[in-house]
Amino acid sequence: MRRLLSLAFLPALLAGCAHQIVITPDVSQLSGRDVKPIAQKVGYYISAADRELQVTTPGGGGDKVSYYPYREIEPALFKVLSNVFQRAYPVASPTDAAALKANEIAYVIVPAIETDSSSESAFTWPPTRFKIALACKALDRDGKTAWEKRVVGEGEATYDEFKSDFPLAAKRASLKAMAELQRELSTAAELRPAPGGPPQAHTN
Amino acid sequence: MNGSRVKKGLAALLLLGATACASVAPKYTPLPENVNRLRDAGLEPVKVGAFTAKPGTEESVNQLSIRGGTYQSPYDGSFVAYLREALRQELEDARLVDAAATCEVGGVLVRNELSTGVDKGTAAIEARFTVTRGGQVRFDKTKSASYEWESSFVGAIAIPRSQQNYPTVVQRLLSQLYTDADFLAALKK
Repeated sequence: MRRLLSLAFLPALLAGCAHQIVITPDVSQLSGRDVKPIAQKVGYYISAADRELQVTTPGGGGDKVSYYPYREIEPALFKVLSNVFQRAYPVASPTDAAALKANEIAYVIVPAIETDSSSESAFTWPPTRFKIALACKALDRDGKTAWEKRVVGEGEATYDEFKSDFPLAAKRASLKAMAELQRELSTAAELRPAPGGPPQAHTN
Repeated sequence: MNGSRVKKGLAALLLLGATACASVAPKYTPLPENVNRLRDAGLEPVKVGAFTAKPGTEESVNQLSIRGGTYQSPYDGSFVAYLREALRQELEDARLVDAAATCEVGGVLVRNELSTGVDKGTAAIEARFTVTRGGQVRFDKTKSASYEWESSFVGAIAIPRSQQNYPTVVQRLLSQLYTDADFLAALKK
């Protein structure tokens, strides 16, 4: 643990460099038990360029932190979508109507992520504050926006908390954003099949 | 010349600073393909039972290291518990977990290895899975998986890669299990 702690104090040695962190939250905390599932299949689209997008934001002591927001948020996005909908699939294109129809995908969720971080500490590099803004659109098979919402998650972590988990503030922020997204999706009436519409599919 | 020495010295310091550290594995994240495969299979609810280490391997399967530093499981420090939690999460995400179910999945972790070489990192895992219903064994097979990734001489690169790549071998092991028709049949009435 002593050596682990020493790494948190590396800013003096590594002045100006970016420390790699992973912002994926603990997805087991995104429970779907209280969600009334929407009997629709959805896709989600993250472009190859976004998956490889590496973002660098401020940490403490003049250092920076670096991460892959789309790639690292994806497990939580899938979890939320599979909690709320009958099925969730990654799709190669948000506008390939034929493929979407063939796979019975009613909507494609397209996320746009913005992040920021900061630290009050001059001596440790992990951020004490992290913010994630997640703007999501649900596109129908014609590519029209059927639903749109922006959620924000903010996370904080003190030294005593992050000393054993450097990206803790980021994980807290991403968990809050995803929990909020789940709330918004599960109450989005426009994404539920209309009453009296076709029989709802099996929702195992 | 002096600049070069400074860089080399700094690199050595970085290497030293980034080795022999304790680290914790990322918590498990279910693989979408695994969850969808379970959802599509039309399975009955199941209870996740006991998982143990193969007798005599309790220490080796639960204590992994990366470049001399301990690599701990985030689930009570046990990789046996890691495997159970991974299976539980994927069954839970497929809406199949029911503590009152008569069907139960159990497991024995047989082998669990993690290596961080200069050129490549590797992880290998092997586990025996059982499905019982009403006391009768309906499935009993051993599955294994491995995973490789590009590594580096530099600890600051190699160590985080190993830390982040270990969960993939668990995802692959569970994929092996879910693609076994006998396992899926055992979870149907």
